[in-house]
Amino acid sequence: MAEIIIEKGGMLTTIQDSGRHGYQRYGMPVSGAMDLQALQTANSLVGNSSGNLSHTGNNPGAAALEATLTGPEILFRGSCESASSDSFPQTSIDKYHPATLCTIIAITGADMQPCINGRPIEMYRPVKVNSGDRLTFTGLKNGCRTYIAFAGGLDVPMVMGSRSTYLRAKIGGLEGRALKAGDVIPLGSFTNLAGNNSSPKITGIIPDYQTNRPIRIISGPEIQRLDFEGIRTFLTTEYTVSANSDRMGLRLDGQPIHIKRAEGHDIISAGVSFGTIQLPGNGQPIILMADRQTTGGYARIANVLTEDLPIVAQLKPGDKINFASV
Amino acid sequence: MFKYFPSGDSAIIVKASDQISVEINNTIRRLLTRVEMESIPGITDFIPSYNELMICFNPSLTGFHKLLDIVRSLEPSIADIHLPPSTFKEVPVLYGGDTQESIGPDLEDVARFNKLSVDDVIQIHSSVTYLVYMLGFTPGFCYLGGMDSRIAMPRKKTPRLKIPEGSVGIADQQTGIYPIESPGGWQLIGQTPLKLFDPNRKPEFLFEIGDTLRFKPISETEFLRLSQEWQR
Repeated sequence: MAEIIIEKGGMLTTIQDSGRHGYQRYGMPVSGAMDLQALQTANSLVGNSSGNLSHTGNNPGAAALEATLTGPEILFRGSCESASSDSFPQTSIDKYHPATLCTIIAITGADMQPCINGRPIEMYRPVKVNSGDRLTFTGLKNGCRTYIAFAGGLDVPMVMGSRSTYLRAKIGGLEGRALKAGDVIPLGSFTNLAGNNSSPKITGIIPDYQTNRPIRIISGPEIQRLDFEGIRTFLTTEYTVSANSDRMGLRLDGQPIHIKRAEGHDIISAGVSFGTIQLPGNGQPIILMADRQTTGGYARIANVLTEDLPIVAQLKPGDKINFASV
Repeated sequence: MFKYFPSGDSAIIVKASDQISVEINNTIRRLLTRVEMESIPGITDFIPSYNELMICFNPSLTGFHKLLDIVRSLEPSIADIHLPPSTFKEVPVLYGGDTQESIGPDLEDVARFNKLSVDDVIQIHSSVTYLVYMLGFTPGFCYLGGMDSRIAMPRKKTPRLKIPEGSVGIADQQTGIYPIESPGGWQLIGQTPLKLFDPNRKPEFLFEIGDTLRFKPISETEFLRLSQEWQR
């Protein structure tokens, strides 16, 4: 039985998978990882299912940790059930007490400079950890959200088909809340030993969060409420991510976008999706993210392309963003 | 008949009208039923609302144009679809007054604003059958149609940070129930012990689009008894 013990929670660390799909008609937000690509990569690296969505049933994949701005401190305890530990090179420095393999982890997303027992480890590759090892983070170098996947996944109860934490309704994850010191989370068992310390670091899949290229958008149903000047403002302004941003949405500050005088900012409440850009009365756009409400009452002027959502998910307050129409 | 819009590359919006009406909402319910019957590969979720149906899909399995063609081909058959079954439920409410302070703290304001007595407000609010036009805002939150304009009142200028679960409120011409504790600006006139959303119960949600409900005034004793019974 392997488990992790949270020694420090970090600013906002929650358990997330690919989200709670299928209940949006009841007003239930999807939640799930903000950067789904980073989550899925981390899960793949440790041999976990990264999920699959289809009409026959939504599999949200294995649950991992999403850390925001500052990383947690995690102590590993216990032994994974499947592997005999002598078939692997060990990280333990104590040769008289052979280490017990606890699990395999992979860290993706924002670079918070992860260390095992104080020694830096590489991101985007599987890393074996032993019982008694400690995962810490030196500090954020780029991005905003780091994903930590564990072979076998985090073994918390499924709530309505997902283990994702939805803070506002206090459901999913661990008691529906952010992690804090003292929490103990069991790890699922695994048989697929994909991880191997000697495997090369995967470079092709590491996204560049530092990119300054514009975020690609598709027009939304209320785009015609903007006049030429409004569209020009929207596509030429460099916006700053506001400190009021959270898992629900990124609020942007910049030159306000004007709407045609005859049209308002409000619409009859209707569905929104991951990446919908709303324009409330103050003219400052909001990009809706993982914990978005299912419906909204503001003009939906555009949508971020799914492929560019990971870049948006890795923006932190103060970062700049601009848009390009495709 | 319908207008179609992409919502990015992972959802399609089917819009029936720019208006709110029972007939338009029924069309949305028929459309939802019809599209569900097809069990189209790649569809992951539906968000029906007053006048639109959003169909969410996995972009690696299907796409906007494919779904556009399918839904367009279904259009002629929508009118013949029977409305899916809907239910009627009574929602017991302890209206505010001089009981617990957290229950219906704005009831007297609503009465004063509309130059009515508190009893009038309760009587008017509880004598209408309301239609669940859609759900949204928070899990299980019903957008209800049918409120009498004699008890309408604008939202509070400063929203409350914490509104208790089960609070019944008024905002302009709308009335509604807060299924979970949340911030909000509605004028609160009472509270129901009914749990509109319970993730550990089947079904998790008491209402869905097309259902109807009526509010039933109850006493504080009844409220406490039902609260205990339903909170287990």
